Amino acid sequence: MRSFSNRQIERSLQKTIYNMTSTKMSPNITNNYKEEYKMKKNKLFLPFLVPALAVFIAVFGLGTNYYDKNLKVNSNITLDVNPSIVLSTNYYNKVIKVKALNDDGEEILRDINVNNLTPEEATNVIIDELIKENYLTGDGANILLTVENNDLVKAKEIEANLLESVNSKLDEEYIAGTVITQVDTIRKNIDEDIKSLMDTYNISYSKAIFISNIIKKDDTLKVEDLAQLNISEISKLLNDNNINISDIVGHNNEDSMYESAVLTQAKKGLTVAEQVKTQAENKAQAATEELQNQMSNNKNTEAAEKAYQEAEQARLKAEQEAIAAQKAYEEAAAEVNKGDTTQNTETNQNSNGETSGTSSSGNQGNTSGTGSTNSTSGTTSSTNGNGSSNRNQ
Amino acid sequence: MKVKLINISINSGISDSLINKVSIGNKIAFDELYEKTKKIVFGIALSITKSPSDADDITQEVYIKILEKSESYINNGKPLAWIYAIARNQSISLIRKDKKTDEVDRLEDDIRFSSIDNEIDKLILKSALEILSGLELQIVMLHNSGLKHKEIANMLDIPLSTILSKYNRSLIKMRKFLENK
Repeated sequence: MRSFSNRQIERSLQKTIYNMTSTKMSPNITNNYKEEYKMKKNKLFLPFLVPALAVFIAVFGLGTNYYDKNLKVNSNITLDVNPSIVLSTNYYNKVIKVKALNDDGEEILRDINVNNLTPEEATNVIIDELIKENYLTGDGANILLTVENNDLVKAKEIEANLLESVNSKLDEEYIAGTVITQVDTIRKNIDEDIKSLMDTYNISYSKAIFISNIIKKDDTLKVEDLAQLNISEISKLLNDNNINISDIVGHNNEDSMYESAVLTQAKKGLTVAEQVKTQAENKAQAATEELQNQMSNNKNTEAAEKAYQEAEQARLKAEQEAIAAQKAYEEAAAEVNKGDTTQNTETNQNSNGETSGTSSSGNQGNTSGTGSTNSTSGTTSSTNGNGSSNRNQ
Repeated sequence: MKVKLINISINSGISDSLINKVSIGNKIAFDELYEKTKKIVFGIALSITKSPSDADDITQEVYIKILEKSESYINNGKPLAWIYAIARNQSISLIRKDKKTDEVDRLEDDIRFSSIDNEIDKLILKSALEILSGLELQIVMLHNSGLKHKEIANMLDIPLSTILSKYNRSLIKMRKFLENK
């Protein structure tokens, strides 16, 4: 009688499968490949043919409407973290053009394609990439979003949708951060000072406007210093110098940053505690069933009883921890809501003096509001928590 | 909300993007896919048809199907499950078409089987094909084609614990069978 080990059987099967599998593709596949490839190659021309045809129609006046609604830039949305990226959208609010404004932006855009997505979808994709490349971390991040559209009502609408979408994305990823937004009309002629700022420091229009507004509020700060900083670092600098972001972007949200970060952490803790609790409950249930089974079969139940007691103790401990996590979460939420009430009052007082039509709302750590500093521009900021992105320009 | 999904499958380097590259006619990607999956496809086909020659024919047909259908592949991070479905369907359709039985008796007439020069290897393969049930045979073939147990669980959508216990039980069955031969 011959004896076999598992390893011997496995090695034999591996060798047999390896030897029996054809090492080369049959000519049948290769021929098929050539035919399929020819077909696919022809299909590859289609994406080039369609825009070419669209341009032809537009040029000859037959498709003016098509051009206006599909190919003409309707809004520009600039996203600044340190990587700066501009998304241009058409009438249907779909991204038709993406441009990086600096090297970091180019790095982010290298592996993603956001064409034909809505601004919310596109910013989510970009945020995913920013997280992947460590520009946004759990500790926190500040994002400056600027929406430009000649129809300010539409600009505000896009701004509000983006703010909500970016906030929930940051929440989803457990990233505490501040989202600062601005709206403006699409610029035809850029102010000379702003243009010079953009050219000298190779920064986006929106960051140039942001910095320009900061300098107007505090002339001790230097443009050249601010231009080198990313949005998070600028926010931190404003905080260190006791300058309210509200003076620049509509209302102050710095006070609630810490509370929001605590809330985000508490929410994460609660989720984990609930998962542990569910696992412990399942184990306790299984142990109970096993004990019942042993008892009904008149077997020795000593081991099953011990397992049951251990599982029950673990379940009780997990339950207590979940209650504590729930309490911590509720306390953090209450703290943030308290902060929001105070902040909303301050915002409105500020607004009475300096802006028109300001409003803000907050929920569990997120505060948001809209405001306009003049007839063509407005700013909003929203907080998920405090923190900073970890790369410099 | 539509968010970009970066699908990196947990199997041996087969990702959604590789299938996507094949779908646009990338020959290098197709060669890579063939090299990385041919043993797995052969293993699936062999476990269903129990005939090495048929399994070899099916393997070739599977890649023609992959070529035809790669455009309709939906990026879900499970490219191997998609290849498995194609291989399984091709194998079942061959059995139905030729009204073949999956009995191992005709194994001795199989050219590919006859070409195995080591008698022990022949005996081990025959024992696997003869005594293992459908799922057991698939798990044993897939694991020895180069897939990890976790990858098989993911591909067949079966709990890992089931895969492990079935695999171990199969080897015990085979050992007992071989020892009595």
